[in-house]
Amino acid sequence: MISLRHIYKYYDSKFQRTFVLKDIDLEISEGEFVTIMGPSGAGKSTLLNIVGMLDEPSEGEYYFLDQPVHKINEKKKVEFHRNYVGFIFQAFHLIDELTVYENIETPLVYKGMKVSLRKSVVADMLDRFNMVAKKDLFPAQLSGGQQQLVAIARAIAGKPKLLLADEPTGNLHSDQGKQIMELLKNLNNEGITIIQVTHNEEFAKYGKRIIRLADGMTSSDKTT
Amino acid sequence: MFKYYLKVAFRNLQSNKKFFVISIAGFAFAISVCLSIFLFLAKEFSYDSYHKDNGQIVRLINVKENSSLLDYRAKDILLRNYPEFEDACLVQRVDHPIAVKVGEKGFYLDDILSVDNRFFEIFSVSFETGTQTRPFDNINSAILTESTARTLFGTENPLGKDLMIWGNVPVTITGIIKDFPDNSSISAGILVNAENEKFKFTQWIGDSRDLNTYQWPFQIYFKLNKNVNPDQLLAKINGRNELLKPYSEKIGFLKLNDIYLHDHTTGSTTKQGNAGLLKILTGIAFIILILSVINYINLTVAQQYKRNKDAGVKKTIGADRIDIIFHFLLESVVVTLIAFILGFFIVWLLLPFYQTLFNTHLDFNLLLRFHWLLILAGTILGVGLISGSGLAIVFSGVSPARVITGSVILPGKKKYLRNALIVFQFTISVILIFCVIIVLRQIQFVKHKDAGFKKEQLLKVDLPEIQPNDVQKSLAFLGELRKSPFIKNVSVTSGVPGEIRISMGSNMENTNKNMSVPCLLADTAFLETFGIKVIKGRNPGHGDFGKVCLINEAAYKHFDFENLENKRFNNFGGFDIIGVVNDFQFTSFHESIGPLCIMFTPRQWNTAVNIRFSDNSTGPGLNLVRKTWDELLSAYPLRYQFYDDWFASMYGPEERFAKTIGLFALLAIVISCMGIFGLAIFSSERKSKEIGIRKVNGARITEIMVMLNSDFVKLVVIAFVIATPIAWYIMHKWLADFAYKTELSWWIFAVSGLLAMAIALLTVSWQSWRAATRNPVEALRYE
Repeated sequence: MISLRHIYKYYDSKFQRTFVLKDIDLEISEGEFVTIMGPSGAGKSTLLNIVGMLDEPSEGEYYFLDQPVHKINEKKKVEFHRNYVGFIFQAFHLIDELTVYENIETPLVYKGMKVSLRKSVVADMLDRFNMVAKKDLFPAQLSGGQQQLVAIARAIAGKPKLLLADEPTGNLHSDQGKQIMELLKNLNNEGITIIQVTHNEEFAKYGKRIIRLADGMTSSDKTT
Repeated sequence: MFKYYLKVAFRNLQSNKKFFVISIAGFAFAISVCLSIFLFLAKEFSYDSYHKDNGQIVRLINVKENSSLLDYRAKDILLRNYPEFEDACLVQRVDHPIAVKVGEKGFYLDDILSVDNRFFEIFSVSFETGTQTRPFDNINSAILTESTARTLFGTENPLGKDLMIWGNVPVTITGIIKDFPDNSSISAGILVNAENEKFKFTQWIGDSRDLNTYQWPFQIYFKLNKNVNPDQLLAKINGRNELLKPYSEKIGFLKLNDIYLHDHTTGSTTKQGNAGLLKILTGIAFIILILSVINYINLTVAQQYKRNKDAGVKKTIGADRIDIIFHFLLESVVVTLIAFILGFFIVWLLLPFYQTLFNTHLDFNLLLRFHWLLILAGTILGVGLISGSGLAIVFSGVSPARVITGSVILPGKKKYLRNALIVFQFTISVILIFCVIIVLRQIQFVKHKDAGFKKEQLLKVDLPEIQPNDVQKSLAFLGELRKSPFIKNVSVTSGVPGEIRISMGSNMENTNKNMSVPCLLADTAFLETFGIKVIKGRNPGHGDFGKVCLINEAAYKHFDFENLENKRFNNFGGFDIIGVVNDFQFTSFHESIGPLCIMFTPRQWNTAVNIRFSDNSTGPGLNLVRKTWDELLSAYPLRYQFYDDWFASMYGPEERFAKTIGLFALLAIVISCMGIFGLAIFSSERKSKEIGIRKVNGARITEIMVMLNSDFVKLVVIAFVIATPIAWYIMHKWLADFAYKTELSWWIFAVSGLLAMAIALLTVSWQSWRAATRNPVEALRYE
């Protein structure tokens, strides 16, 4: 599903080149649950953003569903975002002005989904995450865990094949974190490919495969 | 889908109430100003367009003299000789008060129009009663407008009634017309027959002994036949100029549609607009609109941290660039639309105020006409799209990876644009502040400039024509005044400083600089009453009456006199020049003081009684004047004015101008402040970490404030540097209209700059203070 070949990411300043990622090779198949770990500045988030097509590698080739991402245009990337990739973040990144319902609805709107279909999809999501009673609340009225639930609902409402999670539990206390991880595990069991970045050793173990990065390079890649 | 976008737009506005209110308010006031200016422009450009044949009507002008006045006989000469003219009429308007007597009751009318029968054919005049084919039965016919008829006759039918004009010209009412529309350059309450020589208001006398040099000038309007090319016709007429001698060597046409705004001739007494003012107002409307657009952009950019995040997040969940652009466009269109509706409402609310400001009636319903509504809505939509697209370009390019990973770097790249916008706003503010100060100073300057006579405690009482059997009463009136201890001096004159209606050719010997000199006819108490000094020669005595005159310094210089020996003003019977008086102001200070002649002569056409009150006696003195007039001359209307008030009122247009640009300056400054306030918020937000670190390391609040404010100070200084030459140029041009002008001193520039600076600092400091006093822990906690 995902194939990274010789991926480099660097920033040029006046006299030197700073490498964030160095020669990353990575194959991820459909249905995997991958955890990326590593110290601060190892390039975890950058790698995730490249996989999520939010950022571009400086060098290297990236194939997503056998399509060469390094060659496709902006429009095609938006298509991928709309249909195949969902994101969740440490800071949740919900839209503050929109209610729970509307936040979940937003990606469907961009996708151009019909109103009636949209309604039923959002209703399903609310049902599934037990948030029906909270559908008219605004993000600021929810706890962190609840916000992350909404974010996950939003991410998977469009039925993506790939879910990218950048420290999804980073802002949550451990009980809430555990709840979120269980949820991700279930989603994975339903067939969604998941890549998460985390610092938490315990939560890392939810992944079936753990990749450790150091200084922009893969230091280990183990299947648990 | 559109509904969703609309919902997001409204939610965004709701969640940022502060910005929302400020930007809508800025836009709404700007739009209300633009709408009111639009109404004013529409009004001014509509002048005379209501006449059915307005495209075919021209006024004759004397090109050599650049005058709108030609002897009435020129009309028939042209009409006889050139079949290109379909019709012609005479028009002369007097717009100073006309005394009218109905039975025993006296009135003053504001204006009078002397026209001939053809006038009613050429111009679209609607008759209420009476006949349109030959409205003036004979030379003593007169026509009233509806409102004048009501004033003079109440509910009675005025047809066939008699009235007395100036106390000695009887006329009979033969028709009632509807009031002239507000947008008519030709208008008056009463119309009289120009064929009556009493109603040939103006008379030019080249030499009083030679009747051939007498002329009776009128404004002559011609209606051209359809398809006549005015330029070709003019060339044809001017090619045979001997026909029109001695009235004019070369004539020109002024189109009816140009008369109100583009008449630069002298001698025109029809209503005049001010094309320059319209240009200035159009410019101001645009500037204010631009300021509010800039304001909106600045305010939104100031929320850039949040806006960036929103755009980034939306992109990660499937929005493309078009979606983001659409969000911004819709939001700004919603803002401008709300502002537009509010602006509409504000205009409606402030209409009376704007009418006073522009000194005219404005037709609000014009805005509700479909095509204007459509054009205005289009304009507003355009403004919304322009503001929105500026923002969309800034924000849609945002890279989601940067935003969402939290390592948000607020880009410094657009700083130059933002700064340029702020500089622009403050340049405008400084210019406007400077202009307001100069205009106000100029008004003060001309109002308080030494007039050369004592304007204070000096009253002018208009004197209507007194009937022969009332002459004794009028003399008794003067006698009563002269006896009173409240009154120092009384002088009866024909013409007064500020309103001299007689000019005569000087016809002096031994000079080639003869000219038409304004003449004031006075009694011997004149000099003392007005406090005018004889600086050369002698005062006139009683024996001199009817034989001598004085001239002013300007005349003495004009004629290059070295002494007064054997100098004689050879007109109107001839007057020996016995003295020179100091130059005193006899017109407004728009003009410099020119030559003047004061003749001491008995005259039955006296126009005013001038009364100098004793110190601290104006109150009882004025009561005495009223009481005595009521006792002796109640058959005549009483009308009086103090000279200082009167001269001050001559600068009415300038005062309105000062008010107008004062208001706009205020608005521009307020809008600019909104923008700079938004920027201050943005700047302190961006630097909140820096502020926190500095404070943790011991910086004082004042130091933080200096740091935050110094950016804005720089911007205002740049604005000041740009504004100074522009402001100087604009005011230099404006002052050119005055013969006496205030100085463009350097300190006024300094004051304008400092004022703008103070306003900017106050605005910014409010935010800076909040930022500087915030607990640094808050700012550093999440980093």
